[in-house]
Amino acid sequence: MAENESMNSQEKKPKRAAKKQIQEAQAEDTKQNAAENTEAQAEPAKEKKQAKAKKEARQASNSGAALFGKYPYSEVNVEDESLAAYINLSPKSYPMNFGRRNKVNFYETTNIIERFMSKLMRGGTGRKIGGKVIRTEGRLQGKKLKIMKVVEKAFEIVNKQTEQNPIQVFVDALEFAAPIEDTTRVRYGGIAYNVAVDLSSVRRLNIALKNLALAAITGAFKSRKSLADALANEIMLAAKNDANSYVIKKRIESERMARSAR
Amino acid sequence: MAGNAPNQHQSKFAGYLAEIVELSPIRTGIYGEVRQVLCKVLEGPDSGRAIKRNIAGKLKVHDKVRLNETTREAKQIKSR
Repeated sequence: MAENESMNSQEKKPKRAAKKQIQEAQAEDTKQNAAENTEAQAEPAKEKKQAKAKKEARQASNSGAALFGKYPYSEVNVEDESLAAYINLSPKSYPMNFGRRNKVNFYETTNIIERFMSKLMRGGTGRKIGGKVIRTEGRLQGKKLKIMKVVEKAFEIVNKQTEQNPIQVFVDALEFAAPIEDTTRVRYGGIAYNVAVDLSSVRRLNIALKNLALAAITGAFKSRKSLADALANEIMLAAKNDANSYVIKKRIESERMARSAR
Repeated sequence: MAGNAPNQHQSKFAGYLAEIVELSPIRTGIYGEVRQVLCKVLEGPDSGRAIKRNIAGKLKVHDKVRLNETTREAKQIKSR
């Protein structure tokens, strides 16, 4: 029995040793794994840092980007505080988002020049404006590059005649074209009344952009003026708050209606 | 009321600035396009006052709006 015990003890010893070795090996493995893990964790962090640095560099290089390579955004300042939040002047030389921002919550915060170009891509009105029914049969729809060239030409004309940054002139025009008040219809027992309401800044900008685009199209319709000429003319008139401009007339009309309906 | 005197208000644009403080869930107008909000006046003789207004269009809190006059307080538009 004693021999057996001794044998057992002899056998046990190497077993223990083996166990120890295995444990040590496992510990080393875990250490290595941990080290690998930290390396693995460090790699994406590094990638993130690099991506961040790249993005910053891109933004820094873009911050000097000028519209059509000519007109810098940095000079422009928006005086109306209520519209300033929604007049986006992010520096893009050829502003196109290819429909990527269409499902963003506040789509109205896209580049203002791009928004205007999108509004210009339209057909006629289908109803009378100044005695004319305008139907352009949708020949501008979907043609953003064509419109971009029109806007570039119009901005060239504005720059020549006013010797200012055309983006600044355009922003001034928008500020004067945006109405403060409007009316809505309410029915009391079959009779419709107009009630005055205030307008949010998003709505004001939308109306201003729409009217400016419409004025350009009506100005060029059945006349010798090109679309670019008509657009440049309208922008310059509106920036001076001139009552001959279509957009200023519209603003004054809507505000007058609202004042009488208070 | 520590407001500015009305003569001090010299802006290129008509009306007074106000900031939207609270959106109420009430939507009025025939199509529900008008919203009733509480806004705080920032400019003019009534600056510092909070008034209820009916505003049309897309909105969020902390947006700034222009009000033509700040004395009137808007009622809820009801259609029977």
